[in-house]
Amino acid sequence: MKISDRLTGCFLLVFATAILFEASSFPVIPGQSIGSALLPNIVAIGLIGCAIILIVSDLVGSPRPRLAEAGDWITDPRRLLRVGIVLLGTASFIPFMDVIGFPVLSITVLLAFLLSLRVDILTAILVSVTASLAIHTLFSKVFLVPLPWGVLQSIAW
Amino acid sequence: MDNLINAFALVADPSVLGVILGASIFGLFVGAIPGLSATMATALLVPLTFFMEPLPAIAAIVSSVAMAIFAGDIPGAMLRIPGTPASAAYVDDAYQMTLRGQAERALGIGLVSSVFGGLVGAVILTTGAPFLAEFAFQFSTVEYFWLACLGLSCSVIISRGSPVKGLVALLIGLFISTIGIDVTGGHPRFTFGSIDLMGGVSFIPAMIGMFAMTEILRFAMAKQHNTASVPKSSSSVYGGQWQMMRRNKGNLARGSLIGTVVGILPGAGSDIAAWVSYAMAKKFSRTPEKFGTGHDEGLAAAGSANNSSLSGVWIPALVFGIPGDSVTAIAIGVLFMKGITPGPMVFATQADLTYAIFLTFFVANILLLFLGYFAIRGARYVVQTPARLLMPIILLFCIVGSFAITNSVFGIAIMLVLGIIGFLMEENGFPIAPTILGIVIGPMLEDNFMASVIKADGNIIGFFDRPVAGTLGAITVLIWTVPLISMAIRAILRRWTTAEAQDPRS
Amino acid sequence: MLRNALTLGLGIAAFAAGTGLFADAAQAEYPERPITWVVPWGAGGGTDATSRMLAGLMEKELGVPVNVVNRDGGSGVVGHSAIATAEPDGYTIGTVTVEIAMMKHAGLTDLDYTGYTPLGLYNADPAAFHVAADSEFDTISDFLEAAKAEPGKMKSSGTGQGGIWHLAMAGLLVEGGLGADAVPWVPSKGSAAGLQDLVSGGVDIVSCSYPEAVSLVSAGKVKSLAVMSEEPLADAPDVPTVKGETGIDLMIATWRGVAGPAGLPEDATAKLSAALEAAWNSEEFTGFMAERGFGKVWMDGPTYGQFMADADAANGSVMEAAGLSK
Repeated sequence: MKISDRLTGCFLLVFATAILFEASSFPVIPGQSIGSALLPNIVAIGLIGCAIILIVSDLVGSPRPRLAEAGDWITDPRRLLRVGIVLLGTASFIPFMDVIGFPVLSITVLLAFLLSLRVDILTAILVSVTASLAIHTLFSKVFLVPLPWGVLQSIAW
Repeated sequence: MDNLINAFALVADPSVLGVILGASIFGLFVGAIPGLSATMATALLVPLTFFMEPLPAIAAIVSSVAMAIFAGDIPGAMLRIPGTPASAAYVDDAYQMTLRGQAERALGIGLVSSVFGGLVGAVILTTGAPFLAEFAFQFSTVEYFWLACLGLSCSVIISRGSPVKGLVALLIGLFISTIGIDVTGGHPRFTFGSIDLMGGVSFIPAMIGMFAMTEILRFAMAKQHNTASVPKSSSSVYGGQWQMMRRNKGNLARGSLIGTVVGILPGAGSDIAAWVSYAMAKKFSRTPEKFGTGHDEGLAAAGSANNSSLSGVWIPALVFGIPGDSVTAIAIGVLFMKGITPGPMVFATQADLTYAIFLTFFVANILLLFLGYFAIRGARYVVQTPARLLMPIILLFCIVGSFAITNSVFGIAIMLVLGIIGFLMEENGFPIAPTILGIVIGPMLEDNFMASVIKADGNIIGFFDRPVAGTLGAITVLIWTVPLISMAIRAILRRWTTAEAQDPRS
Repeated sequence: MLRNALTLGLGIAAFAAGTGLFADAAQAEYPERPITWVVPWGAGGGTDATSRMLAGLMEKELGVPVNVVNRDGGSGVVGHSAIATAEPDGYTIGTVTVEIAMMKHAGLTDLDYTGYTPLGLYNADPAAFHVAADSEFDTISDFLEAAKAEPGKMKSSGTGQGGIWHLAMAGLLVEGGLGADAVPWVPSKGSAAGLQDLVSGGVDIVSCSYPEAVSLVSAGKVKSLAVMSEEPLADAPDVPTVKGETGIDLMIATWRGVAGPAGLPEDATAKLSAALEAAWNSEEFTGFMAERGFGKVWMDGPTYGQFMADADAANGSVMEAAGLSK
């Protein structure tokens, strides 16, 4: 995923402006002229400076690189699927972990990732089930991390 | 001397040694799992310490933490996922060595340096604790502010490639550190009404995201997956380490001293010790360009620093009851529970016990030299599994590890978002180490600056008018200005010499 | 292949849901599974230590594990919200600290004491005022005199902006007839950082509880001037009270209690309260609190609830007077 420096620079400009805008509402410390906005403002000004350097040096350089290139994985359905499983699979824990619970969700995501890597189905099931249950037991029993059981609450041990 | 002999007798008790061994194995395990920190290892030990005598209780904490900090190197070297934040500074060097088939050698360097640093720290702790604690009390917020500035200077030294991109990376890290409720202003920043964001961006999920998630994404995009996770290695753990130590005696000595000093200052910690020491090694190296490409100098310097800081942090804890980090905060609680009030008096009233605690640092570090070997060999078997089976399991560890830090799915969200940012950054030549450093140092920089401004009534003299502050301030100003001045002088000289060369009459 | 995986995943989910429904039908007596105890502050602090101690003791009373979970950050807002928004089934409880009576006034959240089912209060520690051992001040009145003579010159610290110790300092100044800015507040990460700054000569006075400063007091680095309580503390009988010294009748204290989310079932509330009271009365807990110097105070659920409501109103008016509310 190659993004040209001029595009990154533009994005950083927008981002820095947003920081400045949001920070303008921060209060100052009583009796001082500075407050919570100081560091965010310094960061934003620094980013604007860097963004301008990035944009200018990218524009004067030759040959000028393309605006953005996704890389060859984007045209390969299998690799695209894998990236999708990693991102969406991880993201799915955020809304569903409490409802569905860790074991079921983890087995599902792990199975999908393994299958997308062309692991044969039996191995994939074996690995996803044992790994999920082992990690779950390790973390909830030994390290006392409250991984939710979700739908399996009733058979929790 | 009597105290020392009595202390020996206390430590030599089989039950004490047994506790040290058990806690050590536990610590190795916790440290090697990304997302489980040394603090967590300590917190988990607390219920067990209820049933122990004071010495084994403290010995368990000391040894498990020492092991955990070393064990953090193992997933760092094998998979580029630092097991604890203290291993983040040199993870690239260790991982590059692994890619060259020198995994055992990289971890061996980490192991030997850790033991060395741990022993140096223990010696300083034993000989100079009361004196050094007085030194730590010279530090007010002004001194801490300058210290944070020095830490930021490190990011300039450690970052490779384009300086502008390194600066962008640092600024992103500083921005991330401002999210949440501001201690000085008491005001929520960039939270947009989210309660989770009020708590700020936890450092460990951020680190897991930027290192591990980035690696997993790159793996998912790659074409071939039939390889083993880590190239075959023919190196050995202890082989050649004696020569390595002789070559790096300067780095080891400096790393251990930096580590101990950073540890003594409450609020800094083993992760900052490792960063500072790595940057210093690069600064003083004859081959700074090799840093980050699988070079042993940085490994030795930072590996010794993070373990030596573990001893340093006990100095203010034992002498004044001021915890330098969350581990000693818990340990002080355990001491209180056992009826021991930390303070200068412990050296008089509890001398035997105090020296016995110091001795456990030696015992734990010597034990680490041997246990570390088995941990490295064991980890080797784990990563020998094919990458396409191992990577999905690592993803699961990242998810659970991030959850474990915040005890909520918010940790997973931090990990995922920063993983994507980290991936995009690395693809486009932005280093991620300065971002991590920015997240670590941001709060220290800002809080201490604000507090100092309030104290000085906005007067800049207040930043220089104390002896230690003035010295640190001067060093910081020099670090930032000398390269600029020398660059200017060099540029003038170059113009001058080329002008001379072009002049045929001269 | 992917479709296979999906079918399988759904199959597992369906099976699990089925068994879940089935087992729910057979109601067993509370508690039948581990209880999660949320601590809204970090590992290693006083709230964490006392909560872990109580959780360990309640485990014996209840017969199920009570697992302590730290949800720190955001001046306590994160953890307090986590307790209030948890399922009110008796399997999530937590430590609710004085900040619950402050965070709403500070404009951080809408959450207040009404979000909880109070189970009991177990600790309270009054604010105390400390100066460096080599300080020119020997009494709190001397200090207030000096502050009146040169407003703004001396600085104070002890916690973050708007924290309970900031409130104690500002309240003392306002009640003493000075402006809250007569001794500007230097925010610090906590009492330990504030005390470090005091000893290094960075600030002139620190307000925090006596147990937080006791190691430095016994090390001869810090002296305590006064404490905000009716009677001097048992651990420090020589430290006078603010009221006795100056006549300022303001009592600000940090306190810690245990609560579940609002709407906890009655049987769970009764069992948890009883277990908490038994743990509080145990020898282990009494010894632990005495050794750490923490004030051991008991209020049962309803009393604690009323106490939180009173504290909310009292803190609100002090914060208003000191210009700390939004």
